[in-house]
Amino acid sequence: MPGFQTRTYSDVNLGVSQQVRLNFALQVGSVAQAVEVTVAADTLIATSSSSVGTVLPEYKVRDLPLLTRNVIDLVGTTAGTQGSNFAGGRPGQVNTTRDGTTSLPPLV
Amino acid sequence: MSWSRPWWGKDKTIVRAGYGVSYQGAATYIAVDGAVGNLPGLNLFVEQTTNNYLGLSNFSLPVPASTTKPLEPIPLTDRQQTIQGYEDKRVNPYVQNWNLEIQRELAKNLTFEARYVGSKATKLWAPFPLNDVNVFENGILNAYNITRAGGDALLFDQMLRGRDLGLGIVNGTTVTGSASLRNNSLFRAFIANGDVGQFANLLNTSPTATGQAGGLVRNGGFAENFIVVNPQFQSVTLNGNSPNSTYHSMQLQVTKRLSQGFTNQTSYTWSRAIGLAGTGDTNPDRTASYRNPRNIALDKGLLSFHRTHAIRSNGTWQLPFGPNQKFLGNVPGLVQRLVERWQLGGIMSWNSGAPLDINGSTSSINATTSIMTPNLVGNFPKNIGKVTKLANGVTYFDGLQVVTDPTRANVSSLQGLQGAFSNRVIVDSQGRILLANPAPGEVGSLGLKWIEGPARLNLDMNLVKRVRLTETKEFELRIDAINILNKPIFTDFGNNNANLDINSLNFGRITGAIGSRAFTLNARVNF
Repeated sequence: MPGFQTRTYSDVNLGVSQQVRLNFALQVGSVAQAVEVTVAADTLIATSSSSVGTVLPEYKVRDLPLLTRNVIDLVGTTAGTQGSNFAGGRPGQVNTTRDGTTSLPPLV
Repeated sequence: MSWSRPWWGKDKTIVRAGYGVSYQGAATYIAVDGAVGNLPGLNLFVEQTTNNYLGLSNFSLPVPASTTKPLEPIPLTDRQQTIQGYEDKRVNPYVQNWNLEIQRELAKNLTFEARYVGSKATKLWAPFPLNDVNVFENGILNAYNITRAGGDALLFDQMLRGRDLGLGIVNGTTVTGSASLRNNSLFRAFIANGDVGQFANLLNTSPTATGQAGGLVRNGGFAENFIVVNPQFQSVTLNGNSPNSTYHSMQLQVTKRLSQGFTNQTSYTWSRAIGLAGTGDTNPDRTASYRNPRNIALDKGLLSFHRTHAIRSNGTWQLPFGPNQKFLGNVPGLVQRLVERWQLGGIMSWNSGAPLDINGSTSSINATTSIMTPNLVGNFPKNIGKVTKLANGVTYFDGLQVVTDPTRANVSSLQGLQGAFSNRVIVDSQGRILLANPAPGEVGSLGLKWIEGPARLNLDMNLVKRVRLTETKEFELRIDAINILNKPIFTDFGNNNANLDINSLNFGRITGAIGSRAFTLNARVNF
């Protein structure tokens, strides 16, 4: 924030559905100082998650080379995918949703 | 299910397991409409192009009616139309997925996962042919073999009696049915090369010597369905619901969480996907052709999306230059702005090759040649393929040769039959036969998807420079390189994999590759 010094919390492990409150007491600083908030969503050990698979966090979507600008192309970087096939399933057997709504029609 | 185990530290090891069932969506009725909406007699297309209909002054009513009647029976002399329908109890396919995983934190920000992931797809949609030719029970195969060896088959004398196929009127003595067929240019190559399926199909549909389709069958006094069960149609397809497929995989994955500007995720997958061979990527999963329609289980094999091995890796690394970094942290401000916040990113993937069919383009059972496999005669191991660059091109089977099939000697020379023989075999460098065409009536002993094609290696990388403009705005310049190694991916064995046909002189030739290098330069402002 403008005019405040940097304050950092490190090594905060956050499991799925967990919430942690971290209060920042900011000291007045010079204008040149900055606060960077970086969130790595690929939780290291999500002890309460039963999900088997891979999280594709926002920073990877933003940073990895992607010619097509189609985020679905990055799915191929994960284990068990081959083209449009996921863990042995066909394209027509995949339901892609956004905010709970199907975003692609089934391929039949 | 997730189970945190206190092995070698609290919350360091997690065991997970899961099971799920999902049903595939219903068919789009566009597809169904396309299949049943074109049944013979349902559509009538009348195009008026005559000048009489293009000017009102020449127009008179009523418009002449079509001679085609809606839904009228297809005559037995047609034999060209196709028809398809749907099984009564066709239901939505469903997929069961199950997995078991152990995840272990190896070090700070570093985890290792080992998992088994499997699935089974049930009641997949697939078409089934109901009108393939029969060459067994009706004696055609036996008569065909007699004719091919130079003999005279009574069946063909009966079928062609009184007809002239170019050698004179068939009478069973001075001019026989078998000799007439060997002499006829339409039938000769089918007889010479063991294409009994295409031979029977031609007998069933050709108007040769009779002037009407099916005339040869009719001439012999045989039943209209002597060769196919629905003789008025060329093909009849039932869209059914019975195939299954399975997938099993072992996946190992190491994840380095983003810290110190570096993140990486690398995985290895060892898998096997098996089902009724076909494309596997679309529904239905295959075309309505089976090597032996009487035993479709023979066509169970690797699916086209199967890859035995796959290695994937992706990551980013912020270069250690600038303030609070290892290098150039105390240089003047302008230099700091120039050298800070450079980031490298990359995606690497390596797959073993896609499974490939070796084709023996012989219609040894039914009229389809594109799916039949050859007989496995010699040592032709699954890993025999290797991309080899020669002076005159690229081949996948260096050292193997294509030579004329020695069974040519068993084909009669009467009526020029042997001259129409064009079958070949694959031999090794010592001349030993490895692959040969199946005999008439046989299914090739080589399985479908026997070998794996060339492996694929791909590396994409990018370099990103970010410059903070204000606290909420930054400028980003990046260059993305796709296939930065510019490594060709050899995939093309000719049109429809024609160079995987043992009867092709170009057997094994790779005629094309993909994978050109591409760069994109992006500049944008993030806010």
